[in-house]
Amino acid sequence: MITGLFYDILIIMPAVLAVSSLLPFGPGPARGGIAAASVLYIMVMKHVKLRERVLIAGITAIVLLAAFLYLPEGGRMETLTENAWIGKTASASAAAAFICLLSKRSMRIRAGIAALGLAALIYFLISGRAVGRDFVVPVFAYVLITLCDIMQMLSDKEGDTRPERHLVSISPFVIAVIIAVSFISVPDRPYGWGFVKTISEAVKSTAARISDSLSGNGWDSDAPFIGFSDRAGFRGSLTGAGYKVMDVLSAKESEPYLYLAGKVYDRFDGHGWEPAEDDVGARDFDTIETAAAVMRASQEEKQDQKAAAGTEISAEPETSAGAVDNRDVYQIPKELAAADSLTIEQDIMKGDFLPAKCIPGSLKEGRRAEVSYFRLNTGLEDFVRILNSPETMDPDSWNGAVSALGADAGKYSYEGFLNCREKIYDEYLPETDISEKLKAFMDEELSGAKTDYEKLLRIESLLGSYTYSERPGALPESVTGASDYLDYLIFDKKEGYCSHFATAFVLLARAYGIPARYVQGYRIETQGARHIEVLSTYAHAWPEAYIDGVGFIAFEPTPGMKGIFSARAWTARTGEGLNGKDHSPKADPEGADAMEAADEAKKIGWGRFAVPAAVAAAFTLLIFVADFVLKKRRYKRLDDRGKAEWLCRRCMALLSRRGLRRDASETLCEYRDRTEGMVPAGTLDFCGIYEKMLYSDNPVTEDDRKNLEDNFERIRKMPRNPHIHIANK
Amino acid sequence: MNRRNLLILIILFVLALAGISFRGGPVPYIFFFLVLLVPAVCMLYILFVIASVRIYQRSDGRDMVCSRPSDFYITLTNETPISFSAVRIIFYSSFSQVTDIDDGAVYELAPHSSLTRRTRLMCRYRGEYLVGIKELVISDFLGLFSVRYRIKEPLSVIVAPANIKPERLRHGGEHPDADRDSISRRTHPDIPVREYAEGDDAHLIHWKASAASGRLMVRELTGSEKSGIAVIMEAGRHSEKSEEYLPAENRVVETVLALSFYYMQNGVPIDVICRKNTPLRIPVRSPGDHMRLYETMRGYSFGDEDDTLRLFEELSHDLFGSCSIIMPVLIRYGAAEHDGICRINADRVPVRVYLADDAYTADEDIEVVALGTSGRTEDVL
Repeated sequence: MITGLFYDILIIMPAVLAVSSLLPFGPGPARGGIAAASVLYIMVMKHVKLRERVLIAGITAIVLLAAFLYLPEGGRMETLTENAWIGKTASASAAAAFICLLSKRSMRIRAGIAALGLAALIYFLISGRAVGRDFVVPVFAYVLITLCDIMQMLSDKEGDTRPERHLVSISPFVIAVIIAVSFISVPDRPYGWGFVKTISEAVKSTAARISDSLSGNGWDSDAPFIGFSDRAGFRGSLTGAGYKVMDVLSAKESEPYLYLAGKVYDRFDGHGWEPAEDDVGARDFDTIETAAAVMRASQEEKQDQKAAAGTEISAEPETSAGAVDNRDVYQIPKELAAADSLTIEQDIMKGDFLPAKCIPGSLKEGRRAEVSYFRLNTGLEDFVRILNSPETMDPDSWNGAVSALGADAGKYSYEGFLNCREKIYDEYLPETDISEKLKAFMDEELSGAKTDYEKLLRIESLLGSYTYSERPGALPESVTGASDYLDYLIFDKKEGYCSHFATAFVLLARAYGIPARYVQGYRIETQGARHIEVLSTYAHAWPEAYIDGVGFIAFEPTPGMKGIFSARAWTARTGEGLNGKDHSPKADPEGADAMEAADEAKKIGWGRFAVPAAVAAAFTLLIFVADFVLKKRRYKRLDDRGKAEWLCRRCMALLSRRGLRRDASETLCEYRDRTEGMVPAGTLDFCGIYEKMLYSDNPVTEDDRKNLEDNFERIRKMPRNPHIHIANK
Repeated sequence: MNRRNLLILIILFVLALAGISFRGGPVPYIFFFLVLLVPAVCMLYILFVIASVRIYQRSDGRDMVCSRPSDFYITLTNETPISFSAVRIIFYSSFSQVTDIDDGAVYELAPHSSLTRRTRLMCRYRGEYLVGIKELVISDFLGLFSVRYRIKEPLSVIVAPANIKPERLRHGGEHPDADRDSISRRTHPDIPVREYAEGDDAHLIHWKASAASGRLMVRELTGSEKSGIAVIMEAGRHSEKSEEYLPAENRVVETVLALSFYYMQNGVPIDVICRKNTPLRIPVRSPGDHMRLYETMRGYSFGDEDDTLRLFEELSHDLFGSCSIIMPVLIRYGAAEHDGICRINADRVPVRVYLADDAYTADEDIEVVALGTSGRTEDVL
């Protein structure tokens, strides 16, 4: 029975689950549960005897009745209506189960059902219609189980080849497969074959590196750090395979564009840039200046607009000096320049990643480097307002910022800042001549721009309107300086790549009295990823211009690469502010009415248990009475021999319950001899009659039957004697 | 592995790869994982069966006799709650044969059940080798994979040679008995025959004279007795491969036993010369001598490849001067063997080489009877 039950469940359950998953009512998981329960119920009922069937049906009825009575009086019909899907699901499942049961013996029909399921899957796949795992897995399970049965049926083997026993005994393996595929994560997109691409790119990058090192590419010898190389020049063509430069791991989800700044350059000779004297301290001053500008603006703004401004500077310091907390402005690490080892773990929009040569101990390939970062939300109006109306840094603002950041006031003094600013003007605002033609052109472009920031935006927009080209060709020999270069690019060529436009921006800014510098590094479109592989093809150049009172601001004049980034948009997307705070709306708490209703529902109605309990007791009594009556009737219909046999078997059963079971290999005579001393005299007299019946055809007389009935009564009344020694095991 | 099933699996795998490459969602991915997992689970199942199956095999004693079937019992037991879907038994067949069982039958062992078969095992060659169950071929429930599992404790038997007792020999041309009579007649010319008296050795009965005279006549030996026939047995093993040396050696041993029995039975004195570290001469004059020869042959082991030539060198030609015929029973016959025979046969006694090989170079001086290794000895001899 057990084997048959399991077999039926195995072949029917998947089909029923698949059907139930397609039903248009009820929640999915609950529907599956109802379907599974229905199948189990039907299968159990199918495999038990009539008595058990009646019992189970009775218990089911009692439970349903109790559940019905447990419901509040006023809402019973509504509850039934709301949960009608349970009945519908159970009915549909029962119908599917019966169909499967009918087709159980026909392998062709079962194969046809399996094929139908596969056809449905193919239809869903081709049409692109959404289908849930709760349909797909049962269909495949049904196919697999049917396949096992078909293979068993087609095989020519000796031994016990019954399909029921075979399938049940191998079911652990089949079920393991089904469970495994049920819980495997399934993406909605096609597989990207990332590892293949990774391998392919690794091969390509290695090949490109070898090729570059053999052919030479005009850059310095640190080819892997092309974005951070010493000299910034122009190449006729950017074509060539990219190779991996480094990995960047972000502590949290990145902004869409990530700029890793390397060296800065200040001198242009017509064909390339020379790097500025590396001064890490200047970057710290620059950061504090920007922080001071933000703080000052924040204090002037209304309190509730602080978050809306979204102009925050946040940094995750490498050391414990300056912990991350709730302030809008966080401390930047003071030891950035002096660190022996750095780990890239945070995003950078403005900041500096020191190239290998500048770090004591050298950053070797494969070594991790940490850098802190901060980002400026230049896309927001509030920040634009700051940029358009900067105020000259005063000592109070400066010192306030230093104090707020917890920086070393001695190292980052206001006087030091003034020196730094003077140096900025010296280095990044050399005299830059432009042609008359260009001046007239630019005056026209910049007319109406009142502030430096406006001018810079217009320059950015002008250059951004040109054409991006990876093959602009080499610079003509006639270009020997800034003026030649600008005329060539703006009037003649009008195309190029990042280096061309960044150079043009810096030169134009300088021509209009704004300190600017050329920055080289990497620009990465992160797509929100936290782990980014930086390829050599991401190398990029961009300009940074200095706005007195705010600091250096980066611009993006390369056509097609300017991305507007807004903190408001970021918050809406991630639900967290730039400082990690959760700004998403909270759920409303339960109302008082809802609480009261919940309390009301918890009150126990004892009366609702009494009726079902009484019915259950009555039903159980009825079962026993019916069983007794039926047995009596069956006994009366037997002839003497039949009655005698029945009585003898009942006697043996009663004795067995009292610990005197007869061994299979024991004859009645041996049994009697063994147990005679353990029971009252006369108890075992029936053995003689039983022996006579088993081994001879002599008829059983009425006296024998009466003796047996008396014997049976004696045994039935015999108490369970704990002192009876059980001789058999 | 069934090639058809393999092909189907590969096609399904390619389809699955194509599915996940172009489509997302549960259908292609679950199909892909199914195609990956099902073969893996099938292999796991086979490994489970291999680890769980219990094999018992027993023969009637370790000592067997060549070509004589004996009872052989096989039991496969499954003590697990998982059924063994397909188990096929492969027997050692190079040197033995198991009858009363279908070699290609596939069995399914239900949980907690066993398969017992009583069969007959017959060994083809003398020697010590493995018999019975060689390996099991275990397949999974979907018929995807079949793994051959070699039995860890195979059954090893020592097979005694079959005691061939031919009634006649084929060699000698049209008169197969001519040898016996001609050899018998090559006694000393002045040895008469006389009437049989009680107590005479039955081997001395001269049947022709008896037939001619109508009375039982025996040879009356006066003077020195001739040794009759000298059988020189191959001493060396000429191959490392048991498939090659076992049949050949078996043929040699059976031929020696057959010849010695035949001539012993017909009253012809016969000496068997073999090599057991040193040359050994075994005279066979009576059934008891033949039994002793048989026991010697049971435990006989062939030595190095050169042992036969060494034997020829060690044998003195004087031994064969009184022989009527020399019958080397060899595995290989070439120039070296020819020279060896010529060396011991200084008296130019007739020689007939019995060769347990089909290929040989014909010799003008020496008669070579190629027995080969196929067929029964009593049939080819």
